Amino acid sequence: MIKFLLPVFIYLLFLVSFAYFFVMTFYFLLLSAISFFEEKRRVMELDAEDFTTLYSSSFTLPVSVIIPAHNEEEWITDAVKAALNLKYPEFEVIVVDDGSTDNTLKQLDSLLKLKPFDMPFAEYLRCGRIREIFKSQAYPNVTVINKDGGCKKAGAVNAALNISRFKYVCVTDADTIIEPDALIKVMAHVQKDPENIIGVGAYFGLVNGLKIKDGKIIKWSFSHKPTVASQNIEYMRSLIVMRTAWSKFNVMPIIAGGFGIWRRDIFLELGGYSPEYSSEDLEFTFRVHDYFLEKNDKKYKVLMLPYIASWTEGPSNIVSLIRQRNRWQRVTNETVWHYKHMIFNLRYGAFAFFLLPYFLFYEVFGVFIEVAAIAFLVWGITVQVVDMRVLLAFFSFMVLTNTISSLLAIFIFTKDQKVFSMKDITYFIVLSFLEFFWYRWIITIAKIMGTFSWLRGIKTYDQYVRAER
Amino acid sequence: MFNYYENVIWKIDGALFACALALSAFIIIYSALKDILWRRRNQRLAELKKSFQHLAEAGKNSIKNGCISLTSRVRPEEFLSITHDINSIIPRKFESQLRQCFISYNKLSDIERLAEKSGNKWKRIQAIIILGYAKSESALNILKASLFNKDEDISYFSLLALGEMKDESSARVLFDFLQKRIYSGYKIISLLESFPASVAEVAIEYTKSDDPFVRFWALRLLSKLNLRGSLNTIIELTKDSVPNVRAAACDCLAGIGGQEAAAGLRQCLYDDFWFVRMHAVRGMGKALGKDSVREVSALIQDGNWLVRDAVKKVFKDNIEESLTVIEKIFSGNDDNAKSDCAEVLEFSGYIDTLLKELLSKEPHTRTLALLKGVVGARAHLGLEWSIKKFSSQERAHIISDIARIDPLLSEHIDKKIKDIIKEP
Repeated sequence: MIKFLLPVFIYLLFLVSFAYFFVMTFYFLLLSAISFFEEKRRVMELDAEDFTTLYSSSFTLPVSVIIPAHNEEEWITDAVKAALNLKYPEFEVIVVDDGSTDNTLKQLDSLLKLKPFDMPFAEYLRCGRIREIFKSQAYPNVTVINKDGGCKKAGAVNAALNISRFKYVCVTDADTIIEPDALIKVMAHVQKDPENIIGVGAYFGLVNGLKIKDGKIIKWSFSHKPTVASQNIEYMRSLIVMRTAWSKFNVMPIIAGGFGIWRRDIFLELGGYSPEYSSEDLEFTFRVHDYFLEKNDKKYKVLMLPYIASWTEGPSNIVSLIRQRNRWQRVTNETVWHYKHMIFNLRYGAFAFFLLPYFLFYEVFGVFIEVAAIAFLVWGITVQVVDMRVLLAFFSFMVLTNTISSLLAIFIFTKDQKVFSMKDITYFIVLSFLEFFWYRWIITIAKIMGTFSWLRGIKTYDQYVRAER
Repeated sequence: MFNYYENVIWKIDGALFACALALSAFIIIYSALKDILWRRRNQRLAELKKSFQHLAEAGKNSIKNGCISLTSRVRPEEFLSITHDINSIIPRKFESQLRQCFISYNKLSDIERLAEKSGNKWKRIQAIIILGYAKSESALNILKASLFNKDEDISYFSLLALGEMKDESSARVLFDFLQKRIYSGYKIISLLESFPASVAEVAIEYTKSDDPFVRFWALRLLSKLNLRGSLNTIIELTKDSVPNVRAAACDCLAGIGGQEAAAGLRQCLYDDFWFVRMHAVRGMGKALGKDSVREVSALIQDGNWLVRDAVKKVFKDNIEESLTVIEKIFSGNDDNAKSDCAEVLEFSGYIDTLLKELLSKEPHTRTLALLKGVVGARAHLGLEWSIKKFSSQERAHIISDIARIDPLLSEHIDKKIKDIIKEP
């Protein structure tokens, strides 16, 4: 019986996984085609925009920049300086020291000259206990909140949201260097339609390797460590190709923590970021879509702009990378599970039929399909029901579809943006061919670990070890 | 047993591999070429900019003679870069001459044609922006028509181009377009804000519009222009049926200032809508300065914290004049108002003055009353910070004064300053 069923099972699995790869490749090609034109459009818009008026106008919408920090003594000074270097008519910076046990607060004090501040504090959004609020004596537009840890980044951002003054907030990270023109580029779009633009994300790359002084990038020398460079390719694939294309249909699934602009009243309306998840950004973006689509509001917009807004530190070794991706997988599973009512639900339109199936079949189950396909084919060879040539052909197919996806992302990103040198681009191309042989499997391991952690109910926010600067 | 179609998959792999190689080669060649073209373009732009600068430096007559030959060398996309950067390229006084040169140069009719009919959307947008800069008479109609184009980019950049024209006719088009609610008021009014002051007359006309949205934004614009002549019209709008309009009228009156404006603001201080009250308080502060303290002081007990915040700002900006009012509030029963006043003393830096006075031989009775008020309001962080600045002897003196008001708090402050306890 087994002798008969095994080849049937392997054959069916082969067909399913081949179809899966075929559909996923087609999906990616479709997104690439959309993002190709969308990226072009956004870059042309940027070239033609009248920034002089925006810089000088008193009607340019002010923004609160929020920087949550937990044990970020390495980065916090540069991150805050970068925020202070922003070229924007009116903004405030709110730094939240989220129960740090290192010298984060001391670093902030020496940079900002902090003075305690008796400020009425209403906890509109759950954030944990506030220890003290400080005002900077050196920079009047900077406030620092010192609070207990324990509510993750969600609690830290919520604390800042509770006291932020402006209609729009820019949420970033303490290991992130914001580009001086990031706000003006993104807010130029928001200014067109602030009633309906709820959130905007923008591209952020990896800061690893760049030389930074006083919050400014002084030498563009991207890290050529394969782990870091592969993440750069992945960011291009995800942020530039996929999210830009999804944004065209208003199904942007995530405004990532590295750089995102949100309308503050939406946070207040929806209860802010939730500390109940392994990470906050994906779940909140889903919640926003759920909220508006549920009440049949078709005018709201959550956008992704392919502009370079900031540079954030990425894991520089495999252990840190696995830890980070483990958390990302957990939050993906937690979110998809929580919002399962939206999947293939007519009320949620493109979100239910164009985006969520991708999340379900690729982000949640994809890793198992890939691993099972390879594992059973290998098993099939050992029990001599599958020819070695089949495995090689299938494996090559997986490698090449992955390579082409990466190459397309590199092309779409570099065709209009002048960030990477010829040397960088050539290196990325070479890595695209090799990525499947090692990087993909690191991510696969992390995803499997993440899924098991999710099943065990683990929801910790693990901070990976910072690379030495 | 089963057909895995490996030969078909190998063929697909072969095609994919060829695609991958071709794409790699294409990316490298494209990037290299783009680098070269980018460098050339920047070089050419730098040369053109330099030529324009030389022309401007040579004076009025040279501009007249040399401009046309120079303009003939400029391609539309280069023209766009030059206009974007115009203020750093040539002195402002020569800008109108240069613009005249572009208009008289017959290439403008080509640009107009592009702006109207080009099939290439982005070429069309470039032409639209150039038309805005050139400010030719015929441009207005073209831009007005393209403003209503179905393509949102063409419409948006026509809006920006109209904003670049900065004359009365374009201002009217922009105000009319405001009614369509296609782009936000913020966007359109930010463009009108950069118009010459004469735009105020157009704005006043639109304060009489039937559309409250237009009235509101016309007032918002006027609030930045400080237009005394329109005082009565604006005072009339403080009675508008739409609260947003009343609030915007308050902003306007704040900019105008003086007793007449204050008369208009006064009737909004007790409006039913909190944001009208908030704008009225802010307006009073700006219009009357120190004289506004008494007018707004009762609103420190307002139910809305943003209104109270506005009052606090007036107190803080006029701290000397506010002390009597603050003292009175400290002797009252409203705990929120007391805490707000303690905050005002802290933010205005008056606590330092208060403590210095406390050290004098005979401190003023008001000093003691205010200190009692601050301590009573439990707003002690600012107090601690200020005490830290004094010598240890002076600190002891101050802490003993506080002990007379609240022994527990003084003990807490003392321990904290001496680092015996740390607030977690």
